[in-house]
Amino acid sequence: MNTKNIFPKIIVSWLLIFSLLPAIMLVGISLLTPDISSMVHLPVTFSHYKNLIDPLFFRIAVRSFFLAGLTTFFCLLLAYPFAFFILNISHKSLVIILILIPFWTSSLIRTYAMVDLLKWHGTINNILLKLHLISTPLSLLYSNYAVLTGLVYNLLPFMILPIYNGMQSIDQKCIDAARDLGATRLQIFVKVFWPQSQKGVINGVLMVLLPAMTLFYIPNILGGAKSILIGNLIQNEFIFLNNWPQGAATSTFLSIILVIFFGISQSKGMKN
Amino acid sequence: MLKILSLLLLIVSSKFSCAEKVLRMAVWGGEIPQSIISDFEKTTGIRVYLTTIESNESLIIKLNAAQKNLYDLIAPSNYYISFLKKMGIIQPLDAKKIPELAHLNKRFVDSSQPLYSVPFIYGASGIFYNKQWIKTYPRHWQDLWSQAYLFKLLLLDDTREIFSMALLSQKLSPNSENSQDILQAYQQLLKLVPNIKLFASDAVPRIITDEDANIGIAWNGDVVRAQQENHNIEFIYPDEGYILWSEEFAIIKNSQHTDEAYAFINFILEPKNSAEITKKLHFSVTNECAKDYLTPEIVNNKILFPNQETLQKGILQAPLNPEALKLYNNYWEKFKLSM
Amino acid sequence: MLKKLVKNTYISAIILFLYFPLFLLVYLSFNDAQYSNQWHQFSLQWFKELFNDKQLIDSLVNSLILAFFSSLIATFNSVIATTLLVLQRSHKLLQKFLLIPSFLIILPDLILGVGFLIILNVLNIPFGFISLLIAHITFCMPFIIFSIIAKIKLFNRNYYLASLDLGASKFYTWRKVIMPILSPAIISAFFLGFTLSFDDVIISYFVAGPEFNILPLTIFGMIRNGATPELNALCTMTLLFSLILIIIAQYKLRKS
Repeated sequence: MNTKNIFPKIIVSWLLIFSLLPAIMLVGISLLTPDISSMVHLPVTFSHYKNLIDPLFFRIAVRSFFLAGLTTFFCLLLAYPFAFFILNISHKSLVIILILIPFWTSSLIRTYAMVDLLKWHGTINNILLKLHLISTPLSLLYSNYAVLTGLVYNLLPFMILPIYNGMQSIDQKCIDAARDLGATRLQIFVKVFWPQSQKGVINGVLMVLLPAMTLFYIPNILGGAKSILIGNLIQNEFIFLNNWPQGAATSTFLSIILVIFFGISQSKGMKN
Repeated sequence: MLKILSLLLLIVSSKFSCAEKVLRMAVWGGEIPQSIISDFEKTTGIRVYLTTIESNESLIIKLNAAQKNLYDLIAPSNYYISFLKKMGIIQPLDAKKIPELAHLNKRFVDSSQPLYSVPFIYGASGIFYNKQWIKTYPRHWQDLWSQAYLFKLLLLDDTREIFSMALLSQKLSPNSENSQDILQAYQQLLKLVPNIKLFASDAVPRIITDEDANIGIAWNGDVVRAQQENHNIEFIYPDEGYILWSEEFAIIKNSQHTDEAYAFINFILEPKNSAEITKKLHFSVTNECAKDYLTPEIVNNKILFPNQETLQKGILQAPLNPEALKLYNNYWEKFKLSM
Repeated sequence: MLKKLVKNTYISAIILFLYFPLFLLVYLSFNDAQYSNQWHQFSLQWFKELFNDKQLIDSLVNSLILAFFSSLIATFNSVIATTLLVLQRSHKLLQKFLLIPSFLIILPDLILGVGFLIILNVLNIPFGFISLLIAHITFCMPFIIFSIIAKIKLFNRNYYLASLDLGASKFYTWRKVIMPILSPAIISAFFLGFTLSFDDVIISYFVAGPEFNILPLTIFGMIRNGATPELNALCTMTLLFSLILIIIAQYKLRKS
């Protein structure tokens, strides 16, 4: 009997070692002191968490949430109508594949594609100059606008697909019933369609909000001095500053926020 | 399916078979042309594994943390050599094994005995600006703080360079270990924040050429590269002083491939090969004999090879004691976060 | 009819938005100019440079090898684990098993990467192919597991029971009945893992070593160092490759 479960047990142990154990160590390291030769050593200190309450860090956290929130908002704004429109069109499968392709191609390459578009002598500026809408090029690259555009561009497919899937699973019978009962199209949308599409929306938001805070290469490539987000902070602390404990503290903080978000989304999903 | 698998295994095993002669190097990105590596591999039959250094600090951490040696040959910045020496990471070099040593620019060669490192390129940081878009030309470091440059500056993403710039603007020593001086520099930098557009140490030539930043601090080599494509770029060495640095080769202690390391050092220091670095990547090389292989245009380029008078005003980056270093790093973090 | 026009315009606009930067990227890879965005003339010089760039080709081959083996091992593990569990009919056991993959999927790559960095350092695992392989297998498995479970749920248990009734051993049934039915799902799960591993940037950033360069990190380095349109040529080839993979995967999926 037991031999049946040995293989899954091995898999579980592997996954535990490489997921749970690092999580524990992350918290553990965040309480130690950095050291230039051996990475970390005692004494135990809460200073790294104190640093998180520092107004400087707080600013970065707020900026990250704000940018991530804005990204999610724009993605939602663009994706919801899109998913709604493609529900009943003729070449649905073609459109789905067209959305899947950016989903499956390297996000790094897609971010790089933005550079030639946004730079001083880039395509957007060239077009605007040709149309005489501006006289000097706009400083688009290396700004928070560029980071926002890059994030929305990268994450839009991640919002479209879950919303579309959510909409597809809406029971057609409810809609038919409402129509039979004499509801107008607007009423059907507001009372039946919109609430039932929430599950997809919540999934979409989750798939966009969290990456928007941690895809550090997007601010790295498109952002300027004022575009440091939490993801970059963690990257810097581990790779450039070699302050593993501080990086671990920031990561733990981020993970806690994550768990909170996830919890909220699950409870909202339950309500529906 | 089986055929594909066996083909793959063949490819994989060929990758992991140990080459007889191997050299594992860690250097800064873009400092050694691919052509030199290929020539070296062809001439000597030594397989070269090249890693890019992200920062001097992370290199040291990696070297310390690794159980066995990660690299054989490294090329950190000059002011890190004494640190590596103290930590026992690098081994003393036999000057007799490096014939070109005599031809190197004396300014950059460490005169102390025994020799621990050999410089192969050097550089300086100064002010660059684009004539087309900048109307008031800067002359001194302090000028960068002007209101005319709001949100325009490109700053090097390097703690020492930027702090040195701030210290020089306050007429203090760029290698100061005095906590008062460092604090003053930090406060000056906070005043610079509104002017800063971005920090970059890589891709600087592209940024300058493409005019995504039109004024700031940059390395002389990068500016010369940018000038090849964009003729509006100007570069100045401020009179009050500027930073000089050099990249030094050092061999890891207990390396199994010391002979290969010496071979590479000598290969790069050969005048013809050093000249390649200047020709392809526009770095100033330390071997004076390399100038024989360069066009007069390049040799007379005052940005790449400043004259004696200008060179005198340059100040070499010096190693700092750990307390000062910590102070610099702390303030740098705070500075970056306060944007 | 106006409604249809609005609908179609909106759909086209979004698709244009998603593809225009990519078209620009590909277009510039054929342009005979280093910096300018203006069309100079058609040129394949960047592709020539690409194919002569030994370091780049090397990292491409490395990425393919890594992706192949990570996905292979991850798929193998996931298939065996999930089929064994699902067939046991214990819903509770399955739920418990799925907790950890769920946990891993939710965590952003950044936290995973940092976690791997720490644990691999502590376990003294050499940084290079091995560290990358371990990290990639680990982060691919949850996706593959969920992808297979979704297909397994559609599996008709009666085939399994019928085969057992006819006297076949459990193992024989597993090999000759279950596997063939699930094979399209398994293959598409393999492609999923392959793509995830091949394109991964963030996790690889933290666990890569000096002697095994992989493509995404090479690309990242090239972007940060301000590369020539050779990078555009590379992107064009990579996009083409992804396109082919997706089409194959979708085709296989349709067949099932």
